[in-house]
Amino acid sequence: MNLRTLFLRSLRHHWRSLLAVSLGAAVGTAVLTGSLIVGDSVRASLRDLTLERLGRVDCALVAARLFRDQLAADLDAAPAILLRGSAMTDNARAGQVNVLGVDDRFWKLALHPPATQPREGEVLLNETLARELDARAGSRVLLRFEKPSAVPRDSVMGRRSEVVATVPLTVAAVIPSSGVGRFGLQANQQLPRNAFVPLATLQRALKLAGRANAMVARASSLRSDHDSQAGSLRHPTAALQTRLQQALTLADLDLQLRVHAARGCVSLESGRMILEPAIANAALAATADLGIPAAPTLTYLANTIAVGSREIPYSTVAAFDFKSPIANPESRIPNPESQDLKSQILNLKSQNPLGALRLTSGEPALALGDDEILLNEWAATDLAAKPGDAVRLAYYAADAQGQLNTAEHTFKLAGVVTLTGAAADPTLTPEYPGISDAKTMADWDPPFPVDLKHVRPKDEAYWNERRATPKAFVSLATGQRLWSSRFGNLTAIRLAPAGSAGVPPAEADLRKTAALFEKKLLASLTPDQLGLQFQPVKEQGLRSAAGATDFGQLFFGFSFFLIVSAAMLVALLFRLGVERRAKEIGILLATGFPVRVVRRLLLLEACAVAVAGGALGVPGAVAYGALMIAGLRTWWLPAVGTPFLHLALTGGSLAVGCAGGVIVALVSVWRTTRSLRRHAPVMLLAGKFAGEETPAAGARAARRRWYVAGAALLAAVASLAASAGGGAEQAAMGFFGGGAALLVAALAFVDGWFRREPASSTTVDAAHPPRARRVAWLGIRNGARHPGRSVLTAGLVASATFLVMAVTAFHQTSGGGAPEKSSGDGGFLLVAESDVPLHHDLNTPKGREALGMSSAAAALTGVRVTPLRLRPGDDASCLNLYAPERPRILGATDAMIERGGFRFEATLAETAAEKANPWLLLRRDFGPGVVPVFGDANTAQWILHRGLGEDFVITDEHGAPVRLRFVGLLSGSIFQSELVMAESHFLKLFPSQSGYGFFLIEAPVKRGRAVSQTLAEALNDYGFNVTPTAERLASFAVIENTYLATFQMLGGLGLVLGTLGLGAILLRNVLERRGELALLRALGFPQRALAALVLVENGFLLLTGLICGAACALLAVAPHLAARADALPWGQLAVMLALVVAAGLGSSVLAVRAAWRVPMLSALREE
Amino acid sequence: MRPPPGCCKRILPFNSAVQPRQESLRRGGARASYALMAATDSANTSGLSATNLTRDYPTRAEPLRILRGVNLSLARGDALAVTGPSGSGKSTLLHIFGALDRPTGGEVLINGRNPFALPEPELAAFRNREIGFVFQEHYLLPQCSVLENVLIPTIVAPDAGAAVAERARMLLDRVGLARRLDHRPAELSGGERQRVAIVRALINRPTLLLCDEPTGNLDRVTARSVADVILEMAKAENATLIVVTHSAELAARLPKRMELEEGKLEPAK
Repeated sequence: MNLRTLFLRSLRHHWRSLLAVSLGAAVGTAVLTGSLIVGDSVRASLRDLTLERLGRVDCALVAARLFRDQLAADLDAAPAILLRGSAMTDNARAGQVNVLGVDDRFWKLALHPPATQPREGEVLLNETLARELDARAGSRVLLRFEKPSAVPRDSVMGRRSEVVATVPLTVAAVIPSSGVGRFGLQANQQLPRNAFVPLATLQRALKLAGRANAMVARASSLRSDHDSQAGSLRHPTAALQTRLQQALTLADLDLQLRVHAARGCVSLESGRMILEPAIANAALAATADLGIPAAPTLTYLANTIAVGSREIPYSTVAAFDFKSPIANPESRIPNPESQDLKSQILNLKSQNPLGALRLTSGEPALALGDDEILLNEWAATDLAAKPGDAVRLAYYAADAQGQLNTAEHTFKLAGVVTLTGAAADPTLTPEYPGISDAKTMADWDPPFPVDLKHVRPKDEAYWNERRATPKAFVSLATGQRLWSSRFGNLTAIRLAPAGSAGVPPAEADLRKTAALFEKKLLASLTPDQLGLQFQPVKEQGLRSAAGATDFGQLFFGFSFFLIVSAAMLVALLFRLGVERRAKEIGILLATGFPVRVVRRLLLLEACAVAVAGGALGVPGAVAYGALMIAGLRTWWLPAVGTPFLHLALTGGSLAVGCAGGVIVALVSVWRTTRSLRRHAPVMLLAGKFAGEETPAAGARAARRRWYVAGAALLAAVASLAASAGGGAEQAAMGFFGGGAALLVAALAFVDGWFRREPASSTTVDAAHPPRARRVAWLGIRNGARHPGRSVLTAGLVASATFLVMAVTAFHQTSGGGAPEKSSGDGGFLLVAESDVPLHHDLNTPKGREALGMSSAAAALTGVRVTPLRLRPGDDASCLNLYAPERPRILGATDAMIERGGFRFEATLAETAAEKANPWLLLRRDFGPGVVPVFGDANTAQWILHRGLGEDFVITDEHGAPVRLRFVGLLSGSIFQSELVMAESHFLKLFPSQSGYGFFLIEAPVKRGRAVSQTLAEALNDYGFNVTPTAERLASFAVIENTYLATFQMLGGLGLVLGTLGLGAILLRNVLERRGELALLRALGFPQRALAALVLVENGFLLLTGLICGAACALLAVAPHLAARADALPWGQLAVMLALVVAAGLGSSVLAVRAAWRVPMLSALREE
Repeated sequence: MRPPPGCCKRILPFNSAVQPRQESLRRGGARASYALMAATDSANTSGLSATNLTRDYPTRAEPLRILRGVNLSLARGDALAVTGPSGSGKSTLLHIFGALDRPTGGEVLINGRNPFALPEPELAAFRNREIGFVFQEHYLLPQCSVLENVLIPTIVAPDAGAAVAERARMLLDRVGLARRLDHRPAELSGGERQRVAIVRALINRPTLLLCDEPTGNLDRVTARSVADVILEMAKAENATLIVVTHSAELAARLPKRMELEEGKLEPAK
């Protein structure tokens, strides 16, 4: 005989009670492991979804510019035009449609290319879009999207009207919204609306032959021969980026080098009408390196050039430097008598590729000072201007929002130049389709408003003869001061290689220079600084698939109460088992077993039981996980959006969960085995495990509990008092804390009450209450027989009730009332997004007219629209399960910042002004590379995992890292999908983002629907989707509420499990008192009375728990109740509590049956 | 304290036990230190002595005094019957002698050692080595066979070797249960269960055998048989025997008899 034998014998003998414990452990393990399985499943599903939607695509480049589709071919990538737009049929319209112009090269990257591929004039719709459009093969569909434009629309020369392209197509087929039908570069589990169009069709429709704005590639095709030979392990994207730089041409950057043989120079110009700063800097650096003289120029359009009352309409003005060959400013005019004049002019020419401007006096024009201007002799004659006159220039200036305003500047006429040399050079003005190619001025099709009635015949004659030859000249510094924008400050750079012996270079030399310069320029430019950056989309997607929220942790949290209940059940069942074996333990101790050996024996048993429970729990875990996944696919679908989840098991989670379950079970029984030390063998031999408190000790214990109850009550009062001065959030937290403290007080009071000295029986006798009442009293007193057990049970029920009810305090409600400025809607009734950015002010008649919605003016009276810039990116809200790497970003205009509003959870406000309007924080300077942003508190905490003052790093348009610092956390706002920064910062980070894509709309509540409809219809071409802010908030709230419902449901299951514990205790009580019950029967108690006795005992504990929990929970949710009593899901709560009562009473019935079955005589004999 | 009868005869077995106990001492721990102490003490001051022993139980009003200064001295091998009315404290006294309960006041020395001065592990080892218990209820483990029940105390005995199983068989043979070794307690009669309990109490050669109403649950014939076994075995093992009983017949068979009345131990009338 040894301990092992004894252990095995005990296992075999007590298998029933141990099995019960084991089942409890199995439940705990199943729930714990099942939670991990849910996490695994979500991750695996997101991962699979990433692989499914990307197919063989590993890297992708989406640019804000159009490059040659040959560039993609050079890189073994598939070119594409990716656009966002809307789709229409005769009956329906769908917004936020991904228009994908692709060809065979793209389909080859799909895991399973569609059987039918679209041909010219056809479109392939995915099922989601087709369903929304009610379209099928053969249907006619109109696709609308923004016409890609090389010229930034926010620039003066940007075209802001007729920006929408409409392409009629025939549906070739509808493909499933899976596989390639789900293709998208943004990590999101929501089903996209995809329309696949042949690339050539799209290029033709957009007049962009041979151009693309995106390319996708697979990693295996990215390794260059060089890499392969060198066995390079470089990241595929880095390798691709290197190859991109090598393959890049000026055409990919909208650049061109014009050779002006007649003028002996080469001009670098951009199809964007303005040279991007990065390109301009690189070009100037390249010319310096190559030793080629360069003249940067900026040519602008003046609406009028006026002197006095005379004016010339629509003229170009060129700004470039006139370098003086003479250092002495007093001798600005070269002396024609000087023998050195020729060399002076030659020198001037060598310094200035544009050549000298010659004054009508025959002298070369010298450097202009600020606010000085030269007119050509045609203009000077027309204006009758003479040197020294004030010349007024009126011109369009685009503000930060891209709105054109007429500005005016007055110059001093420094001189009149002859129409020779550079002054007669029409190529100083970049070519602009619609103007440069117009035969007459009347044929102009400019992007800005012109009043052609001001154009005189002499203007037409000038145009006919000299085209866009500038009529005025200013210094480059002056021109840049007046006309530079975020898009650049040069329209061209002229290169003039020096000829030999003062002879202008030959055309061949110029071409050689151009080639040399091109090579140098392209070598010094990196594609990413030009917004050409390959992203490892698959790698990013797989990384994001780890999820913004760990569903394993989430469901662990949801199931926490269930796990705790299982642990308590294990502890309870184990303790009851040990208590039943008190005599056995007593004899072991009496025969000299040290307590630690007995404990070790019991722990060994517990280990065996826990391990068995763990093993039993594994299939249970799979079932639980499957149930939860099924729940997420059905009942809790709003939490994930689409039913894409599938069950996935990993050995790691099963092992961790199983080990966790075993540990939880062992920890649960640890206390019972520890308590052995306190038990005298004599008591154990008498079958008493819990021991009986002496009255004095009971009274002391009761006093201690009452002290605890008093302290907890004070804490509750303090918590409620502290919440009085704060806001709604603080009040909610204060009441929740107060409710929790009150629950502790109530349970401590109940514990004390159970342990107090009982009322004298004579008092009860004297009252002579009716029998039912006496039986009830006896039942209640029985509850006090084992105060620990009873309080544990009542506490379990109370805690569960409290948690399940109080958590409803966090149920989000979509107000439905009028918007409030200091609320989550910021006082805006509607929120809108447009698929095509708008460049006109919706608040002005002019803007509305430009958008073609003048007729809607009446309907929009009293409506104010606040536009925000939108940088598309990953949805950062809980609607997206992927961890966002590049969140959507909004740029708030100055007007929005000044307006302020919205409710903040926390801000970094320091000054009084910032505290009054936290939006001013968006303008705070945190130094280079740091941009202040707002984010919704939920987004920051749960999705981006950042707190106030913390940074989230993104890359700007040029690939440079930028730290977005959270300076304010919005509370329950409509900005849960994005981060908000000041427009000024936005435009620095993303200068190519033109127009506004996000709109906040203030409107009278009653007219909300009408305004919404008017805007949506009037701006239909732009894919203007209007949503009430309440609806947007509700869409976020529905997720939170779904999570809460999940928590409540699993909490309710925990509650039911708790009532099973109650049943176990009751059964144990009955079995312990079988002699007593038999005696009562012998004394004439009818079975019904005994049943009532047991029921009262159980019901008392059940009701005590329920009442304590519910009362405290009601206090906790008091602020919510005060606000909206109908916000609480009373029905659901009632069902849950009814379920608890039913489960509790069900277990009572079992106990009653056990009581009935007690054989009277044998029980009496045992006593 | 006078030497117990048969002490000389028992010296050899005890001395023979010193060797393994010293071995266990080298292994360290409470058991080892106790083994040395027990070996030394047993040679010098074996037996039981109680001086001015009191035991109170707290009640709502005032402490209830069960034992009011009990004095007792028994040599190794002595046999004492304690009688008294119900509630007089007989079982309490026995529990204190068996170190299962602590006295409120006074001192108990067993083989010259005060067990209540020992920390719990040493107290358990002391109880395992020096004391054997027979209760009115047999407290046999239902999951174990007769032989296994007897061997239970040897599990934690420091020097229990393979010989203990042989000794258990021998003792069970002596009480007439040689053919019931593999039976479970549920398959035994009341007398048989009690005999197993007696053998279990003696398996570790205790110097003190304490019996609490050992025949209380048995019929007269069986009770007599069990009493025979207790007396014979105690004598054979040279254990000091204290029997608490209501049975005058059983008490009469023991050489010494005392009565516990109003918390004091007096020679039986």
